[in-house]
Amino acid sequence: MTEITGLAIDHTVCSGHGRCYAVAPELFEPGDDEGRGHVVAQPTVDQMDDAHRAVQNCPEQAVSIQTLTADDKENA
Amino acid sequence: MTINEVRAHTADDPDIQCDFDIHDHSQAGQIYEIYDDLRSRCPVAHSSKHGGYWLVTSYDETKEIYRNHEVFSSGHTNLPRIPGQESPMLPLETDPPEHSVYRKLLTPLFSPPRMRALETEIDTIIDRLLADMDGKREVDFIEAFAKPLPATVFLEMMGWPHDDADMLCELVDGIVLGSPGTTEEEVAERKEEAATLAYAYFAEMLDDRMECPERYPDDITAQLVQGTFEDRDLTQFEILNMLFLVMIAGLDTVQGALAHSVMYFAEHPETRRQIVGDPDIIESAVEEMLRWEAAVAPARDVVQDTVLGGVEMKAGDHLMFCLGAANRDPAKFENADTVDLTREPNPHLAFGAGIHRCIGSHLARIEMRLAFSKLHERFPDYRLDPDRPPQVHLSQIKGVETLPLILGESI
Repeated sequence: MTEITGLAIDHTVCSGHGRCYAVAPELFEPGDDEGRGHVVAQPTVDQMDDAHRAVQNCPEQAVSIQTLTADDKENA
Repeated sequence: MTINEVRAHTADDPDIQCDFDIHDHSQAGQIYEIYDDLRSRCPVAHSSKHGGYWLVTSYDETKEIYRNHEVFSSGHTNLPRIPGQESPMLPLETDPPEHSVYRKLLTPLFSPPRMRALETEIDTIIDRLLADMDGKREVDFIEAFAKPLPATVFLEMMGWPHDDADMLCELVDGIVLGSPGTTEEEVAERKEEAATLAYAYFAEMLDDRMECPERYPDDITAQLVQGTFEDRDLTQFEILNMLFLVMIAGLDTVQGALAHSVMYFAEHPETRRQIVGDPDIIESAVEEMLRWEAAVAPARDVVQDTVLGGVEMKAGDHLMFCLGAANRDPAKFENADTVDLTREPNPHLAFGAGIHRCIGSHLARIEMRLAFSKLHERFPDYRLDPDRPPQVHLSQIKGVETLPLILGESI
């Protein structure tokens, strides 16, 4: 089974601070009026630092990087 | 120790008592030392002032209050309650489900794309304010910049005349501070008078919109006039109430954030030169200065018995938490008492969190970013006036009343 890194935002917790698309604009964009971030691209190996910065800068701890197996992805 | 042996503190526990009063302006200069002391002794303390209330100074407990809005109700966000205030500020002083309805009306008006579209206009306003400062050796940064900038931006967003900025600022000062240096009654009287005048001004602006809606573009006032609460039109009172909150929250806070930042930069030329020398640093500098001086200390009503930070609270209790204290919690931020313009990560709570996250945060960040950038382009050097130190006040929105600067000189 292949392992895949998945960047995700928990929108039940996100309140639209917008830190994710400020620190990693290539991975997130504002997705609604409130300014909640949405994942627009999964990080390449080079972008993993930016992905981690987005996780750490979120005041709501809404951004996460999950390691999924290929099987999980098919079920998702 | 097992769970059963851990005993929560109660309100009368001698270990957690203090007499902190955020309305005591004489403590403004030492406020962060006071927060540090409280946080290290009892991050959830009990103050004897204003009939007794809980005081929270730690980051994690602050987050828990925001997350747990079913226990910590926003019914009253001022402590003590504002005399004469008969109804909640919308949507700040409401809980779900009403909160969600009001909030949904306002959020589109402050969305990131809508705020980005204002950048050119904000740039122009800043240029004009800085041009007026040119050639002067001494300026009061509050009067010259920190006060008129957010006021003019507010008027621009509303679609109201920019010339009303001075009058609006005077009203906000009256509402927030009353008449400083007078008796408690006189302060309350001035606050109420200023609030009434603000409502009257808003009503006049709304009447204008109602009479000839086609004359006006798609500004916030027009949008609110057309707004609905579920399936009914908004009442005039609801609209006025929301405008009131947007004004109070948008003017004084940005003024304070700009002034506190410039005060720090005046006293720390090495930090200021980082901004002058490397404009790329500005975005993270804005975040750090927001962390460094988070102005707001909101209050909550405890509506269910609960335990917070090892302290037992009862339904009916009142609570205040200080974002400035949470933002300097050493458990969350390394070297929390040091300004580091490149701080990483910086998940500060200057704009609060959860469902009441500051609706104007996207605008505030733009105002601060452009101000930091343009101010230092034009005035790379400035210092405090040694003969006229800045006047800072505490209260639930910490702020700066005067900030005399000498331009073109550095310490």
